Amino acid sequence: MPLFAATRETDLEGQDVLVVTGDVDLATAHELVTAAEAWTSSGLKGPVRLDLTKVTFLDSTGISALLEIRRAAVGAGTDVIVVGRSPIVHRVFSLAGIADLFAPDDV
Amino acid sequence: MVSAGSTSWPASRTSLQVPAHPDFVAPIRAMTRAMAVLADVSLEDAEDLQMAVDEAAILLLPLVDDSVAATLTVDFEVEAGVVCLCLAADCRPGASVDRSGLPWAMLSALDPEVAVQSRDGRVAIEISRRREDPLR
Repeated sequence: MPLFAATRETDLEGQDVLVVTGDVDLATAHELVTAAEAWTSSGLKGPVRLDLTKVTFLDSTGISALLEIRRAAVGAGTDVIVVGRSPIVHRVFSLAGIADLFAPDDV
Repeated sequence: MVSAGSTSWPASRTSLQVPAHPDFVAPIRAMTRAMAVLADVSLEDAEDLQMAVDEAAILLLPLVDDSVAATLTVDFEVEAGVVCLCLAADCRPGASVDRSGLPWAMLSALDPEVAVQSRDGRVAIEISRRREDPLR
């Protein structure tokens, strides 16, 4: 498994989703922001959809990256939806007190 | 004596020294997990220790004195059911750990007894976990 990857894919319902894989930490969080910026600048309509099911590690820099992505999305008139969370993402969201900040996931 | 594997071994001290760079935080986490497994703490405790050492590194890295070949040092003490670790670096004069942001909030939530020591320009963050600790 790569240390980190963020790839745009199409889910079973035909919707675009940014699938994040691996560790989101001090070394990689900026890559997540860059991938999300590429999403919003590509002209895609609707919210930024993030699948964090394959995230193996998340820290406070990852949380800050997600909040930065959300700020940019809200500034562009849209939002961020987390459509899937791994157990470590659930744990860190809870620790950081942002479990309810993103739209409820479907897992 | 520790008996997490097939044979027992005495309580152990182990150190890891890496460049003070974000790319080397993942190896510190991996080593921390390995030490936690050796101590036979729960998987949840091992995961918490990984998160705690990561947040400690996030707090220390901005403080390091980069006028020298800066390194992060992790000293582990492992015995049955107990892992103690100390993450340290030589820091700029007067540098201190930022206790106002999310990294400190997460670190202190993971280990309410986390300690910060500063001496002769070297800042150290001490973290520990015992097997009998309830999940926090």
